[in-house]
Amino acid sequence: MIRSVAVIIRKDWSTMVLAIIASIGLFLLRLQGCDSEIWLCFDFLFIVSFAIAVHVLNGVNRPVVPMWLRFHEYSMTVQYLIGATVIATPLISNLAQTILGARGEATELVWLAMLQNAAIWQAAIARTKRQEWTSFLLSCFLMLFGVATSDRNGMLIIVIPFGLFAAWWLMARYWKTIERGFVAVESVPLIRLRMLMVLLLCFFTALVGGIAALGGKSIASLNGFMPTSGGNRDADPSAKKGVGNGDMLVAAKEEAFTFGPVDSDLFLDSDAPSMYDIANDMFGVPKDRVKQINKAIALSMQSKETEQEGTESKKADREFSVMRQPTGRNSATRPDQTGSQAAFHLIGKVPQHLRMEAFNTFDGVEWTRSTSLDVPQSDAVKMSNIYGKPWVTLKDRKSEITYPVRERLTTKLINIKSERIASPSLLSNAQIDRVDREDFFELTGDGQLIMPGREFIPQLTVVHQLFQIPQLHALRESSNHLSRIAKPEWIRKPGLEELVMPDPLACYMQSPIDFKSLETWSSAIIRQQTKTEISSLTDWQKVEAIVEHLRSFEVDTNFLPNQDSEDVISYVLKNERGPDYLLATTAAMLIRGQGIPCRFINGFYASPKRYLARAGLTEVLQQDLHSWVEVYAHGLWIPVEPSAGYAIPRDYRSWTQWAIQCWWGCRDYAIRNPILILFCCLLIGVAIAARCRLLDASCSAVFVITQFFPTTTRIRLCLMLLRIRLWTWNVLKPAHATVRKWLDAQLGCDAKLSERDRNLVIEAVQRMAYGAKDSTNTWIYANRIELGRIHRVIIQRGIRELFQSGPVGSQWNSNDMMKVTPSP
Amino acid sequence: MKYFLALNSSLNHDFCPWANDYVYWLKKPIGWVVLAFSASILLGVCVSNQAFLASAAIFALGVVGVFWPWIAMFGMQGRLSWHQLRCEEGEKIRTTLSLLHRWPWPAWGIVVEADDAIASHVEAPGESICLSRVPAASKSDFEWQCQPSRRGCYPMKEVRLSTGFPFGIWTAYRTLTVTKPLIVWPKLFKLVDVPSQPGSRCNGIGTVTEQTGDEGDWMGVRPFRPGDSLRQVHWAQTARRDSLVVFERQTRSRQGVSISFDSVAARATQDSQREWMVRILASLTNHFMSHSWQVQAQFDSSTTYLTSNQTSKQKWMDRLAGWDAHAEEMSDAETKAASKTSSVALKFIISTPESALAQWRSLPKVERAGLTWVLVTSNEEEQHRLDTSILGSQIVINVDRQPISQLQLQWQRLCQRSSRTKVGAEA
Repeated sequence: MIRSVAVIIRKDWSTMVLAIIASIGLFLLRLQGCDSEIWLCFDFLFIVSFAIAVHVLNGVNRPVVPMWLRFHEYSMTVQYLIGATVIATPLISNLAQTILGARGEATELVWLAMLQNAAIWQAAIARTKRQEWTSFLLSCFLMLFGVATSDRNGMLIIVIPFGLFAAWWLMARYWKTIERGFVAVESVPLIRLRMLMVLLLCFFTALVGGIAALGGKSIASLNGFMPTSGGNRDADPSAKKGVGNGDMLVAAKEEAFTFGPVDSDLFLDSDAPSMYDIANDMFGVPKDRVKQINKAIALSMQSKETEQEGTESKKADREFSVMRQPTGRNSATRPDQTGSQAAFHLIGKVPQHLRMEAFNTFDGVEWTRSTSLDVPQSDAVKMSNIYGKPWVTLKDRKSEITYPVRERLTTKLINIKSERIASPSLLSNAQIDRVDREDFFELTGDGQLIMPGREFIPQLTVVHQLFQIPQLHALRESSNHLSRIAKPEWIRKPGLEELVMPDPLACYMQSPIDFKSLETWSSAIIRQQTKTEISSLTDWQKVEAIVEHLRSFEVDTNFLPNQDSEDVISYVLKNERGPDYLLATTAAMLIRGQGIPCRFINGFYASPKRYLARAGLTEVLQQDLHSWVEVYAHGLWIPVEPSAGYAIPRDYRSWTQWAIQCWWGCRDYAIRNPILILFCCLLIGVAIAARCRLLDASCSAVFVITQFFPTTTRIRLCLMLLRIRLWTWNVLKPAHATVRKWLDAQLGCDAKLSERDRNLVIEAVQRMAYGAKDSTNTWIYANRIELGRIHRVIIQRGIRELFQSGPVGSQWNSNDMMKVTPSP
Repeated sequence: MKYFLALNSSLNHDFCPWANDYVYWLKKPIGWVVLAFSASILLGVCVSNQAFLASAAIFALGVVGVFWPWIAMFGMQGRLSWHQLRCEEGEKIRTTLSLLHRWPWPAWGIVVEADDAIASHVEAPGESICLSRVPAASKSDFEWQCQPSRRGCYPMKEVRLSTGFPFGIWTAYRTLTVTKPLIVWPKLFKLVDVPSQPGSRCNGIGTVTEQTGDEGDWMGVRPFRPGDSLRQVHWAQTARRDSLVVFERQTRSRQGVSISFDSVAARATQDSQREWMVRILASLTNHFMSHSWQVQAQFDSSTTYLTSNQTSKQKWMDRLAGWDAHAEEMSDAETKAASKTSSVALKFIISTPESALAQWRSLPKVERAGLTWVLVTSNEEEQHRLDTSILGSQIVINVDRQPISQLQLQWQRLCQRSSRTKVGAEA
């Protein structure tokens, strides 16, 4: 039973309700010319009840419903017969009345009643979309006819809910047709909508508050018309407030892994993973290389005795293979029972690229570092005292392509075991508390600051760093002498690979692929990306074109090269996806293809997503291990990000450079969307042409909300609106005008305001300005309805004039205003 | 009842089809709105001013119903992509719709209009993909699984977004971009075993051995044995030794098979039958390719040589996926060229019974040797009416009765039969 009731309740009643509302409308119409109201009521109620009963039982197959009540199980003939009988009921009834001697109904009403029954009947038996629509259209027709032909007030009461319900019915039908196909969504907001809404709300509140505050004070709108004496009693309470001493960050020393940026000299034993462990944990272990063994031929002993001495391995002890296989999470390298999983914490601007290692040689599978790059640079670091703290200063990097103002960041090492200090590319100074000896620091050949002579930098060490950001404008201007980076002597020629090149930068030009192929690929990419001739581009623009192209690729850490894939570069270029280290490798090779030195960087990416607002720092986790490249330009290594999803390293631009970039951006957008831009221009043109009207109408629209304010406030605001309106139409304030003259002239322009209205307003204003408070309030309360109407008329005038043809502001002439004869 | 049906049919009969063009707009909701608005205006002018109230309401409804969808679509830009570029019929593919919505208010009730194969739910085929709400000023990714049931290169028609929200009286559209098309290969069926090639005793074990014939590299010469072909006689050695000496050659390391597809017959059949013919062709070629056979596929006026490597398979399957039976009819010369069988020992022709019988009569006797017909039919009566027993070795597939198991079963029998025949011949 309960289930049956649930089935009945869950049925769609909307079409039936619409049909019944329409029927009520027609019923009212029929009542006007009916002989027997009782018979009509009975007729109407019978049909509606019968239809509801059929609708309830339609489609219910529960045992509680007897077979003879299951209408839908009747044969089609019977169903048609019952339907025809229901529809023809008014006709039969009318015939019966005529036979019995009564007057009966008008023929058109009888036909309408038949339509009404058809609508109700369709709604009752509706099982298809077409039946529902038929009933809906019949109901709409009945309602329209009823509205047009009836002069009863009750009809209007019915037509409004019918209209709303019909609109809702249409929406529901549309929703019903699509709701079964809904799919889930994952979205990223383009703008912070909530913030925008809050700002709009604040603005609106401030606007309303401001208007109310101004309106609630003295009649400021009459300034200039009457003398004032004394000051107001206002005082800004905020002026008495002092400057807070701020909430200092409390340094926590009890918890070893606290977020607090505490300079600490704790030296703890740790299970922190090394850089190599992190790389394997994140990117998977390198695949074993297939040893290519050629036929070995034994030679006779020809070497001299000196050559038998022990030789030094020229291979770097740490390499980075791009052929890797994923592994499960290596929990062995993770510390247990610690407060944080972060590799280190960072305080400073994010996003930030923090380099750890650089590689220069790529053999097609592995990146390695020449041993010469591990050798520390002599005299590269100096100790200096800055504000009482010992700072390590790196070699001076005064250059046109670096911004002279240094930025600062602080890192606190948590779970990383390395002698290398994670630092930005253009590091200039570093400082660890109370470490004031130069020999504690070294700068390697690949530009990495390290702390030599120890296995790793102690945990919880806080490192303060100053670094520069590049300003690359000079590299982008073809007329600038710095625009050319590539030098012909760096380019390796076929057959000369084994020659020792005198230039140290030549080691950054090595490639496992034929240089010619690389040049062809990179040139094709640049041409495709910039759609211009390569010769017209500067070297840096070429780099940017390559990087932009690679940033359109998908970063997919699971998309690994095949086992038999020899050339990972063409693999990435062909599939247009790959992990970040493959994209970085591809970028490095393509940039080298243009004759520009470039190197592969492994480090960490401090993402703004990991910024902890409460602690004021950013966590850098082991998952943030990332690879990118650095491009050589006039003695500096500039970081470049070829992987989409990672922020492009910042470069400094002056406001003129920003303006130029914005201008080019706008121009490109205009070329892409000419119709939209034309439409916007047209709108702006119209807005400029009708600026006075628009401003007037906008002000008036804002003042609509003042209708809910007290009458005295409304009068004050009304005066303010009149002053604003004059200012809008650029009419000067009339000199030596009395309030009466001015108001009379202002209000006299409105044909909807009679002379009595004008006098009423003027008297109200004069009473408020000069009269006693109690009597004024009493008088205003007595005339509040009239004053409210006048207030509405004045406000509506601004909105009305927006659509008024012909010149509108011409009547706002200060001279003409004075000609209006004041009322006695 | 029949009177009602007659009445129903007479009421639904189109007595003046010429007038349809003028009244079809009334079949759309916007037509009703326009009609209702016109009627209310007329009533307002002629009957009562109250009708203008209805006019205003209908007008408001029409304006909102037309402009809301239009504005919603104007601020939207989208891209459709798939997580893999190729799949087989019936395989589930993840599809992603990336939408950029610029307006600062959400959009509701969006429908993705495309081929059913790519824009409908797997659980409810034919049910369009719809988006209940697209968040304001956002980049959104909608993901669903599609299951294309028919081969082809999708999308076959324009992919677009549409919305009729809120009232459904007017639908606005926005075309979506498709980064790369989805290629749906014909369904492949797993077959067991390969038939033994007649004429070579070592095919079963694949041993390289000496043999006569015109295939393979020379290994040496030997005295003539009765049965050797005169074409293999090494005449120089024969003259020198004064006795017949013949060449000996290695067996081929790769066995060959020729599979022909009767495109003319395929074009003349129903859609379902034609698709099954293509699926069988794809399954046979792939089966042989997976066994490292060299497959000579004669398909649609050209001959393709297929090897077992991945590129060859991909190109072949792409071609089958994109084959349009209605694209162009072949000329007679092309048909003959396509039906010309090669010199390989094992040959298959995929055709219909009627076409096979017609071809059989015109086929030279020498080409009938080693030929197996794969006949696809959808008509039980036709199958009984046409006596195909004269065709010799054949596989008959009725597409209405579990064609996959029929193919697998008959294929297994064919393989067993061919191996028995071979053993018998050797004995």
